[in-house]
Amino acid sequence: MISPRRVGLLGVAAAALLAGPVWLAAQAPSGGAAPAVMPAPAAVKPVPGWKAPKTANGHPDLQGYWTSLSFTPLQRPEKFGTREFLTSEEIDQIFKTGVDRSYEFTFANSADTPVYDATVYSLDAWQNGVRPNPRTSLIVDPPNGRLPAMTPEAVGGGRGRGGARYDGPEDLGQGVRCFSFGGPPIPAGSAYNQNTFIHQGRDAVIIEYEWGSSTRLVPLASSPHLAGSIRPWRADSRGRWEGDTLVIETSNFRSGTAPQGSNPATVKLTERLTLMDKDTMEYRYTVDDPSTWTQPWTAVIPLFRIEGPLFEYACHEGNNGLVNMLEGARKLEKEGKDPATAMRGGGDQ
Amino acid sequence: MRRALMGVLVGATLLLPSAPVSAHHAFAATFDVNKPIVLKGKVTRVELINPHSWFWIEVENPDGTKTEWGFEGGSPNSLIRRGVTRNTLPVGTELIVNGYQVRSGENKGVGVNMTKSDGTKLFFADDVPPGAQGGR
Repeated sequence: MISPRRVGLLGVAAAALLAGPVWLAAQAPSGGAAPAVMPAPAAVKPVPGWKAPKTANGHPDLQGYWTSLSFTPLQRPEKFGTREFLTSEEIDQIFKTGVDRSYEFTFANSADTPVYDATVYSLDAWQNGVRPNPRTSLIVDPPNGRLPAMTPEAVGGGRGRGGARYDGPEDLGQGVRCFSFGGPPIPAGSAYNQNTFIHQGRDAVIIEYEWGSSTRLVPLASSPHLAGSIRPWRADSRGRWEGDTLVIETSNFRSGTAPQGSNPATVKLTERLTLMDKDTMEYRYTVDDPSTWTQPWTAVIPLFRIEGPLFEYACHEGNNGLVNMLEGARKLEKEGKDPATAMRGGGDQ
Repeated sequence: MRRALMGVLVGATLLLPSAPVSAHHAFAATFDVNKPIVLKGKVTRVELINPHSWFWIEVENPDGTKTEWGFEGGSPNSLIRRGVTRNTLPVGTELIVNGYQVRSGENKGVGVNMTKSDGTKLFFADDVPPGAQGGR
């Protein structure tokens, strides 16, 4: 458990309710409070001379609890061009802005902002151990830090665009229905539950996400992937060791769970996990889907060790949101309104 | 149906919504931004259920009758990690809830902000960084 005292110290790390891209773009000082302490930037390469501890099976010990909380946007704001890293001054400024904006969206705008006061519910990233990341974006390739151009096939098929029907639960997507919050890769953002547990066995690695209480079983075997007709909720992974790096290749995604709205029939994901020091891991993944993007793209997310345990997010337990949305849609229809239009917009909860 | 609203204290001007990247459901699809509500009542139930906690309060209407309202809150695992249990908030505690009503018109809403009768935040008011607006 993270003690209140520790969380209090982590509280100076940063804060923002905003989505990453918006947060990074908003760097003008807003006159609010600055954090009292500026933590050191994340490690970006293994500590010289440091040797990763090994499991009984002789492989680097990646086990434990990790957070992928991040204020860094997936795609780089265009103003940074091909620059991969922030200056220390930029890190400070963005950090300060994140804290300031957090309080605009919590304390200063209590009831007129249609999102939770996250501090009340301990959902703020700063209450959950977010660390600074010196990168300008999570995507490191292509060199502009942005998703590659989409193929004509993907654009024509409307891939990546969600529907907006409320006729029944089937219209509302896998997440609202509590089936899946996405398959691999490990989720990263400033939202809640961005924690991961890793357990290594002789023949398999288990990766559990707190977000959705989703568990992946990754066989350490060279056996072929499942037949294309079999598409598990967490897709189908095979792992192997390349030196001190755990490499996981995944295919057989299911509709609605493929990375960034890619084509579940063709997308392949390659993840690489490497310990940088005892408390930091580099998580690098490449998404290759020639039917969606004109070239593969790669992202790097620093994972930081945290205290466990994970707590269950059994979404089905009381999914009142689904019922409330459908009841609201029926009421709108009785009033002669189109739910697809009337229920559009607003933030997520 | 008699409405138990104490008052609509918030104007229609809303900031552009911003929120965490990943979340369980869309705000505007569930709650009506044109129905801001501020209610004062006493806690009757606390449900630390996934994917959202729910807090129920009994509100006294102007005619003396009482109505139970339910409010959605943040995911319970974040609260539980910090040591909050369903017994942390005793039945009978007086709360002031700022939020928005569900689109169906039922006596439910989202608890954007919850404060105790002495003005303190419901759970974690003491954990804001020093000097932050609203902090202590």
